[in-house]
Amino acid sequence: MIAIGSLRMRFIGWSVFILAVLAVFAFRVVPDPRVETDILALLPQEQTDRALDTPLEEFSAMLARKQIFLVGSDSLDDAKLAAAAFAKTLETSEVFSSVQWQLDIDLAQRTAIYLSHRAFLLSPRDQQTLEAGETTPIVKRAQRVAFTPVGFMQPLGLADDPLGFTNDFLRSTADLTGNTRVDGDVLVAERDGRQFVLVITEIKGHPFATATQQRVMPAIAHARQAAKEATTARVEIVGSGSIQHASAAAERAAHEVTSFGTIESIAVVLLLLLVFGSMRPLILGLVTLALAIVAAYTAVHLVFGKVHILALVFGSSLIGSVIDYSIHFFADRFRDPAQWTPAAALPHVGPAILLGLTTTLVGYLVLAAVPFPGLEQIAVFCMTGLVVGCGSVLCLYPVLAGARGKLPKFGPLVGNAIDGALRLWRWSPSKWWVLALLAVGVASGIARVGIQDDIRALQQSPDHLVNEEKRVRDVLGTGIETRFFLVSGDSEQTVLESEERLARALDGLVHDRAVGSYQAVVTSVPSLSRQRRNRELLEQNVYAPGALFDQVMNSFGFEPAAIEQRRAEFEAAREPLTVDEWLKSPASQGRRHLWLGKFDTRYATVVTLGGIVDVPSLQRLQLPGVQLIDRVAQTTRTLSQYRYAMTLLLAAVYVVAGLILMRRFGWREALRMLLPSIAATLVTVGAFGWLGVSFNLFTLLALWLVLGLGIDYGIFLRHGREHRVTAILSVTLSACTTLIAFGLLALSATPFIRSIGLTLLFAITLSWLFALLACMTEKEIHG
Amino acid sequence: MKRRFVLAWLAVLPWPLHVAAKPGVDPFAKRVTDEKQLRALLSRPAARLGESRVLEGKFRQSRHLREIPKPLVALGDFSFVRDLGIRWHTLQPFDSVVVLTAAGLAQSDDGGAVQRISADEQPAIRLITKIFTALFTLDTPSLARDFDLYTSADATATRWVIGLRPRAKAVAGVFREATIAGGDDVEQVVLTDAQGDRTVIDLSGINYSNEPPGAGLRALFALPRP
Repeated sequence: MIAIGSLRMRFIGWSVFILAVLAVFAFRVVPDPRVETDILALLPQEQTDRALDTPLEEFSAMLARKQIFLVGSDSLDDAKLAAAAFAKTLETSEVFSSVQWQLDIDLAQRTAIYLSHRAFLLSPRDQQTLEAGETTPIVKRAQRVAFTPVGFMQPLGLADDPLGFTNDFLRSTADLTGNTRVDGDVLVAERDGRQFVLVITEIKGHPFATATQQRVMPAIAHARQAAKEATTARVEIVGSGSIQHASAAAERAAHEVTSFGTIESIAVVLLLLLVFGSMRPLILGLVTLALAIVAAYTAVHLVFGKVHILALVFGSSLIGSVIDYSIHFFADRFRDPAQWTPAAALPHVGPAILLGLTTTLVGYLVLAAVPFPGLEQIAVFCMTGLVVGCGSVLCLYPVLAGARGKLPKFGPLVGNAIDGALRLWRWSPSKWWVLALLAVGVASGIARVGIQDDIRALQQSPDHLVNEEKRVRDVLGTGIETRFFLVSGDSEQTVLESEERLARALDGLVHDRAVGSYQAVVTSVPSLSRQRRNRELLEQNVYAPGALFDQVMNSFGFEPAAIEQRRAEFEAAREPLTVDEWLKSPASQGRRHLWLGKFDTRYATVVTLGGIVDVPSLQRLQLPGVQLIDRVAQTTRTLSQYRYAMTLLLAAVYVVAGLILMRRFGWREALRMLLPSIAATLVTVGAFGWLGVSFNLFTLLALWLVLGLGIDYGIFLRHGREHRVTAILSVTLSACTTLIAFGLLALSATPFIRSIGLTLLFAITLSWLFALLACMTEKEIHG
Repeated sequence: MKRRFVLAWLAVLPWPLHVAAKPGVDPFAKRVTDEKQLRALLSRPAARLGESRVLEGKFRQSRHLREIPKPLVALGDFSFVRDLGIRWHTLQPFDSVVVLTAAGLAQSDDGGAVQRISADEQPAIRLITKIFTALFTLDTPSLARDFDLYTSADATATRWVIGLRPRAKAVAGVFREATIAGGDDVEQVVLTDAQGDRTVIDLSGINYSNEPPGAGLRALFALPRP
């Protein structure tokens, strides 16, 4: 009676605790969930300026919102018709914050600001010429403009710019995106005789948000339809941008979740019904898992102030073993189906569950000790989740787990069959030979396993989208490039000076065809020191009496008054062009986003790139104040560091778990409980090596799950030695539910989900098999 | 020696100055809205142009700027080869060759190093090539697409003048309006820029040829892509 009373006390106590957790979750976490999705937040000690994090984040978000389309047809007229219909449909959908397709080039407006500061502005080429003290190229250019058709190709006429300095400067600021040309009022690219009109858009909202996708994707489909109806000619429309990939991935994931999820649910329900004849174990198990996740989320939220999406995904999978506690608890009924009460299960199952929990907790403690923000979060998440899950099983189940109804015969039948097979098992020398051969095969497999940390390979898009992206690159010479340079410094001028050094280096790379093009503020607004030097050069080498200016003007026969008027204009110009003035003028239209501005005491700007061919050449550019921002590479690096750290930790945790089990059972028994999961892990990796399946962070995540589950198998089999069939059944059941839940993921089209599925399919099957062989055939080992 | 001779010959040629742009003739008097009407007007030169593959002749380009009392005059010869492009060879005041093709521009002064600019690099090149080609070939559909077209009140098929005003702003940056005048041939093209400065191009001694261009001529257009 006392025992029952204390069970009730425990039940009430734990229920109160759970209610408190739920209350905190409902009132503090749900209103402000603070889920962090930036994978770079997982990197330890980031070197970037914290002050620049927000603007950088915003700039990357802007790039992610960009989506470009090429509307093509065999004749330019048809392409223009289709593009007009396409762009107008997008505009009226109101889900795009900008749809650009018609150029509104008002040359006079655009050039006004440069004209008023022309005394300070020179193209890099003219700078070099004047620095070298040369005059011939400039005289030649002026003559060419005056006497040959080249004269018609200048934005400013001969009278406005007799020496061509301003024209050359305007040319050097010109914005050229890949292979496009201006045709009438649209940008056109041509490929194999087909004409494509370029439409540049920016969507409203985050491309990865389902709500955005549901608004934008139908609008695009609608616009495609409108474009096809606008002309009788064949129309080809290809796009490049994040949202189409994100939307395809989300659609596929949703499809997989519904199809796999349905199959899994049906299979698990059938299995548990077949074994227990009741839904209660499953329902209680799921409630326990939900409680564990809620508690874990709340704990991470309270400890770290935010929850990273990766911790959420990893953590939720890792604490899936909570379901196993539930299965072990109910499977205990087979020990004595007639007499069994939930309260009686406690002394039999409790110690094993607690021991399993302790070893796993030690593993996560090790994880928490590593200074990776993500691992700390995963550790706290898992420890909380497992403790709450385990507590719920031990405190709530004795009261909630009723034992009504008859137990079906199916479970014991399977258990006895496996037990029979194990009893017949003999460790003959030939079997040891097979094992040795297997070990050699595994070792060589591990040696050849390929490592994959590239996030793009892990999130592969469907073929038709990959082809579209390729087509855009092919036609346009560039897609939407996510790599860019961040230039920062303590003042506007240091930023501009650093950017000038970068621009010179990039000019070299453009010349070597490592990069197609770049866009920088400094091509329009040179640094003050550069501008002052330009004026000096013009003053000494050009406008000095009898110098270049007089020579050219006289040779053309300009009237003396016209010559003097221009000289006076030059003398009067005293103000260099500033970034602020440029930003406020129409000249900066389409480029303002490059200037990020001032943050705390730092100034920053970005240099965007087009048509990147050679990434390493960009990475090699090491200039003060300049940083290559490569989200993909940074993500890859983060994943690689995590993979490395978690591999070492996995080994460390096995050692620590071994020490704990050794203290309790002695080294022989400890080895027997641990070896199955270690062997399963190694064989899985070895098999991947031979099968050409790559090893990545998600494989590792699955192996961590195997660590927890495998040790539990060992402990349960060891504890259940007096009731072999029950122990075997219990472990087999938990292995089966895990295989059903995760095994189908091996069929996923998303590579990283497939990794998890494949790993668990192999490793869980193997650790179950090895655990049975190691723990249940021991009589034969000793003779 | 030969070059000096050519130059001297060019200098003494009696240029048909302002043949069509006589005072009193307003090339923008009537708006032409019907392409048929335009085709009728240009039927004589267009018939010859239509069947020719190569056009060769001489040009005299004079630029009239408000602040320069004397026009800037350039003399030389040109070749237009259908589907290849235009070769504009200035002989005076200095030797300069400009080759315009759909792919880009190549130019060389005094027979020196060839400078190439791809049309992708400077889109104005494509525009200029297109306009020049349309002017030389009197390609009426192409002209009607990019320009508002006009003609003088008294134009006939023997003496005609047409006025062009670009529709797109990008073209307007190159010139504000243009006139083409002639009789049996295109004789004069006048381009007026936004500031009102004019460039007059007089063409003379035009040879039409139906023969495919010879290897020598083709080689002149074979610009390796820059």
